[in-house]
Amino acid sequence: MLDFDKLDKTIHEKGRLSIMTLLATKPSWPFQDLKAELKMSDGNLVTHLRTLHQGGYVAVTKAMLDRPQTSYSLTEKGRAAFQDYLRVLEQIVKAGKR
Amino acid sequence: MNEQERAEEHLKTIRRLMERATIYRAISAPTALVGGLLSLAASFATWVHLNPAVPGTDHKNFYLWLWLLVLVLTAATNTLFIVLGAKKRNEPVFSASMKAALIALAPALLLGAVLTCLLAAADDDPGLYLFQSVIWATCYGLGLLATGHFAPRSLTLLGWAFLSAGIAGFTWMYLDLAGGTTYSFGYGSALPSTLFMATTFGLFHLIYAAGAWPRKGATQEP
Repeated sequence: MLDFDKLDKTIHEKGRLSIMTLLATKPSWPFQDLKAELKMSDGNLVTHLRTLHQGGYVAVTKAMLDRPQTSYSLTEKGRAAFQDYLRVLEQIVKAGKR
Repeated sequence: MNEQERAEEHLKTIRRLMERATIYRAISAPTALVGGLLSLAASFATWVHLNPAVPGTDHKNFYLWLWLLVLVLTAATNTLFIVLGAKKRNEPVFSASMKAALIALAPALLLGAVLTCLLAAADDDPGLYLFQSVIWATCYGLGLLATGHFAPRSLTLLGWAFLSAGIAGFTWMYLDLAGGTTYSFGYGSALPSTLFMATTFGLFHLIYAAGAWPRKGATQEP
């Protein structure tokens, strides 16, 4: 019997899941690129990123290039949580097909 | 929506985003523009230099060296744009996507290089230039198509255009030989190969550059 409570509630939200997915594809994502890729408003994206950061899943790097740039990346904890989340999702889908 | 449906929906979202985020454009639009213009210039130079009407022109391997120069200049331009792009995005130059693209391109390009060496060692006759050009277009097209799993649609279309031109070129040569003539434009003429290279490496690249050029406000592919 599957325990749906195993699903990480921090990730189990479409906006945050999308952010975690993108962060899993590259070492680091600038804020503007995340925004363009996900087509989210600044406020919405900032809120989700803050939640993920507070959960210890996302690290923030501020750099001064030709202009200030804030980039985000997955922490070790975040990567492990994302992999666990995927595993549980797959189990749910498999169970549904039986 | 029950939990299973929600899980499926989330997996689809993950898949779609991951596919989109890992798209890699092995040939950028500015590179294609430079390559296309260089190819047109090289085609013109070939046409002028290898014109049989001009007596006494020494064209020993001129065709091969000229197109090798175009290849080197275009590859250098591509490298420059890749380095600048990686620096701008604060990413490593040799990214996982770039390595995957190089691995996908390698077999077809290796075949093209080997066949070119064999042909160059055999003879340097303008009658063989079309054969050489068709091999280049075919191998290049196959190389681009090999990157199809992570390439944008425009690059796959470019691959198909080159492969189709290659197949058409081989068919044309076969029909010419089967018909008893050796290339419609006459043996010893560099004109068929010049036209072929101008159309494929010149025109195709310019059309691709126009279609793939990053537009203001549009989401840019990596």
